[in-house]
Amino acid sequence: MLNYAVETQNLGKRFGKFEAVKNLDLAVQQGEIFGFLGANGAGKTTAIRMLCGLLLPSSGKGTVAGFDIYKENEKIKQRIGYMSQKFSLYEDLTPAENIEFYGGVYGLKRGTLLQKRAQLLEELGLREQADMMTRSLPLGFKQRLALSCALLHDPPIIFLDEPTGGVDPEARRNFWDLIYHMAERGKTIFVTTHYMDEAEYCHRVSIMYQGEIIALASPKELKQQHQKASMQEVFIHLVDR
Amino acid sequence: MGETCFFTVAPHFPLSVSLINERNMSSRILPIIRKEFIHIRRDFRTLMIIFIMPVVQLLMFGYAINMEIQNIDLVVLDHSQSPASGELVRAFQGSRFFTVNYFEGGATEVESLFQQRAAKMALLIPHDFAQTLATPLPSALQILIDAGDSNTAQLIQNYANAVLQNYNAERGLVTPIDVRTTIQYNPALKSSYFFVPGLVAMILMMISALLTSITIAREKETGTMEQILVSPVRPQEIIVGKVVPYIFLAFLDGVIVLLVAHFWFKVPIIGNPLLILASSLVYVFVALAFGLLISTRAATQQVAMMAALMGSLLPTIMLSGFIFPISAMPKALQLFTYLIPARYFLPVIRGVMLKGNTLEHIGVSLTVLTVMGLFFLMISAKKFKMTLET
Amino acid sequence: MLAPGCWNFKQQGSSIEDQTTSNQQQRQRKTRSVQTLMQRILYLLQKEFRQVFRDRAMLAIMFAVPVIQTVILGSVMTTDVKNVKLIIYDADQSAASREVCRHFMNNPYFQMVGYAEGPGDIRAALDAWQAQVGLFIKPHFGRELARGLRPEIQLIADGLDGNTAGIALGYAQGILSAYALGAANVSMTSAPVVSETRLWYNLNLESKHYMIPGLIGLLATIVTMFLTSMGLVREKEIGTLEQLMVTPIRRGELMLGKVLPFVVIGFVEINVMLVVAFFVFKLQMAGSYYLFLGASLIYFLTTLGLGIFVSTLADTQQQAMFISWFFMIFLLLMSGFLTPIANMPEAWQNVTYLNPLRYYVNLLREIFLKATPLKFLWNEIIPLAVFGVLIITASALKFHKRVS
Repeated sequence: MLNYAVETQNLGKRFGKFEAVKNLDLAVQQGEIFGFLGANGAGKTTAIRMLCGLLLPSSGKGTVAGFDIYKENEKIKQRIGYMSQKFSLYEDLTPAENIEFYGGVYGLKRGTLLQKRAQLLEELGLREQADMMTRSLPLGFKQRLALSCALLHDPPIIFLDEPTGGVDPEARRNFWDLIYHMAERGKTIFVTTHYMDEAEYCHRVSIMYQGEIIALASPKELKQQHQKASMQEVFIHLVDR
Repeated sequence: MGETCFFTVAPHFPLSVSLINERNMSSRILPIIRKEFIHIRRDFRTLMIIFIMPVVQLLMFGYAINMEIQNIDLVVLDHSQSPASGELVRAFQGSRFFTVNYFEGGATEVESLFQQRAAKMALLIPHDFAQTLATPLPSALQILIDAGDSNTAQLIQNYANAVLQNYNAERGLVTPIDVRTTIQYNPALKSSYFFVPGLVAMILMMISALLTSITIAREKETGTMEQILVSPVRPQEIIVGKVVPYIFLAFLDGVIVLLVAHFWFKVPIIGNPLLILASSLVYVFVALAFGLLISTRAATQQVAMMAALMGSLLPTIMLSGFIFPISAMPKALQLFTYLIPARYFLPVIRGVMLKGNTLEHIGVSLTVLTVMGLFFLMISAKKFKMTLET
Repeated sequence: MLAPGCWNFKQQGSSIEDQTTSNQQQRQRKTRSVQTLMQRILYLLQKEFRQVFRDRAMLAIMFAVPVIQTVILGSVMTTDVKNVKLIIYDADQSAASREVCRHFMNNPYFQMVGYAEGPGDIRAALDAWQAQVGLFIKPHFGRELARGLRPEIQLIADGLDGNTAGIALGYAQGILSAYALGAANVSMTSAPVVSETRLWYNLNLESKHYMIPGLIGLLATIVTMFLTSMGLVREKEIGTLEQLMVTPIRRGELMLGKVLPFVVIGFVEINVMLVVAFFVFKLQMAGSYYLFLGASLIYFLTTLGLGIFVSTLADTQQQAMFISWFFMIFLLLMSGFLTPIANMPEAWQNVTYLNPLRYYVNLLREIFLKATPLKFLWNEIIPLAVFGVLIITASALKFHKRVS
């Protein structure tokens, strides 16, 4: 049965001679917050891009929402939300126009779209700034706006690639509250980060090092197993080995 | 050892301070030059500009424009059908410029031949051609030319006139004046003679102004300029260090173009080669000063590139007389050309190369160029200081 | 550990568009997807136009620049020969020789810069770039002419600018023979054959009639190709293209949505340039305006396809600009825009058949000047269409919804 939101076997990607991702084995359950940890260049982004159908893998197998990542990537795209570190918004459009555009691209009905737009602007506290250009918004607002745009079609699986990069601690905190809220509603969340304190919030984490997963368990288990007080120490311990 | 010695004395003797700087100057510039060469070698785009573009342009301008058109499609509507008209048509057939075809239709159908591009010229011989030829009255032919392309039409007209003149001469009828033409410097009217020196001017401008302004803007953009500025290097040293590699490359390119022109396209070099190099140096100085001026104002590579293209390269191509003669431009634009350095340099390099011009001929132009260069340099020096302060 | 019950993602997925559709008929779903398709493209178009009209610099580039370029380049790019600097050495100083000089002075082709003092002065003036053509009337010219002795006149030209020299010499010879025919008082037993030349389509041989239609073709190429590639690459740079790639939007929709605005802009541009051509250069379009629009539409397939193609090669706007520039140079040099193709070496002439701009420039010139009807234009239209379809297909294939 299709009980895994994300499942991969021996998934790999090489760019020329460089192996960015090696033998990735994952099974992420529905409703889980799955953390993907690693230093910059460990292969996190490559892995997430393969899962989203942005990159074709070089080897191995994988499914997302039960669809094959090689052949059914267009079907996958209807069922996932994706947000990257860049907060891919149009800076020269207003927040309202950004929402309208992405909603339109996801095929939302006009009525639903307008309703959703009003609701989101309200929720994000952007009603006053609705006519400002997105470029002049503070980073934290941009981040939440980008997330909202990526989730307009209410996808069951959400990929977040370094969603909190460059955002201040308080905004990060709020953002994680949002992630929890979504997980409670049954969404699967696949998140990469290099902030180890964020790893503590995940249900399960995998630690990636030079393209390979070197540890995969819940933060609690990992800390016990390596007898460390924090994920930070676990990470340093594992990577320095 | 010497440095420590100077250092202890220095606070009391300003002269020694300057000695230290002087001594270090070359050793500080060298790393910048070396770094610049590494950038150039690794940057595909710069390499393209430096090595591929000149070759492409040389081929284009060396070959593409010939003043001679051959095999012009000529249709003859011979309504006379006489031995005399046959003889006239043979005169056209004998010319290497025309490919002659007879056309049986009427004069009204010529237009559709032009539209089908089956003919460029039509020769209409009237039915009474042979009869009038025997009288003292001039016999008139009608020539129709597709003048869509005015230049080609002009040439066709000249060729046709030449054929008729020969025909008349063979019948013992010569014009009352004997016109002798002599063409100086480029008797075969080869386009390569005209374009190659111009190309050198363009390449020197492109590399000196475009590349230097881009490279300085790039350092600003990536923040490495700031890094260099906080080091003990002086601004002048940075400029010299950044500019020297491009002067070297510009000259290398210029010399390559000249060699190819000389040995491949057989363009002669009549004047003194040293004078060519020396005057090129003056021109490169102007171009570099202009490039500096751009880079002091442009914050990003993109702006620098646009400014260099719009401010130097396009005017050099369009308004300097490189391709299009200045004398045929509207008056206002003609005046504008006086602001363009290449306008002065083109007669210099063309003159020295092909007319054997000496310093006496080109002195004025070189002076104007020098003044222009100094002017650009002055403004950019002022600007450069300001950008350092802000 | 597992969430209660195994979710069927496939079923849940279809709830995206509308919760109710999953239970409805296949046929309805089809119409719905057509609607979605139209809707997605419309949203893309809306966004694109919003961005274009918000960006003042972009608007300026799109509309002011082509006007300025048409005006300036239109007046600069001319192969007309006018105001050729002429120096005369009249060693005869007779009534006849002065008459010859007068013929040269009252003439738009030549600009008299002065009289030389001796034969050496002509060469010196040519050396110093003071004159381009010298006219040397030998002593006793008038007397010999009156006696029918066929006096000699020398024309000395600076041949460096071959085009100007060749044409100026042609003019000079024309002027001299016109004078000679008028002055000849010798009675002849038979007269020479003279020609009456009619220059069709361009009575005064002004190159603007030829250059400006070509210029419109060139500028239309630049605008559509550059803007398309820059527009796509900009989205790549800021990451929104990646964001669009993870949406269910189809490749075709994405391409169409990005390209259609530039088709519209391209059409506006060529019309703006047309207006400049009419009012500034007093050109007239002899042929069919609709034929002109049709040909342009076909040609835009090529330029937009090239724009997309460039965007797949470039990661930054700067690279896109550079690569487009490179394509542009090939298109320009091999189009016959500046130099007649008939003048090129044989091998080069063959290469020009691979150049879509060659066909478009030809079409524009034929339509503008000669009112050539459609039936004589298939030789251009068919290759142009073939190239357009090939290029746009190739670039569509190269344009993946994946990052490379």
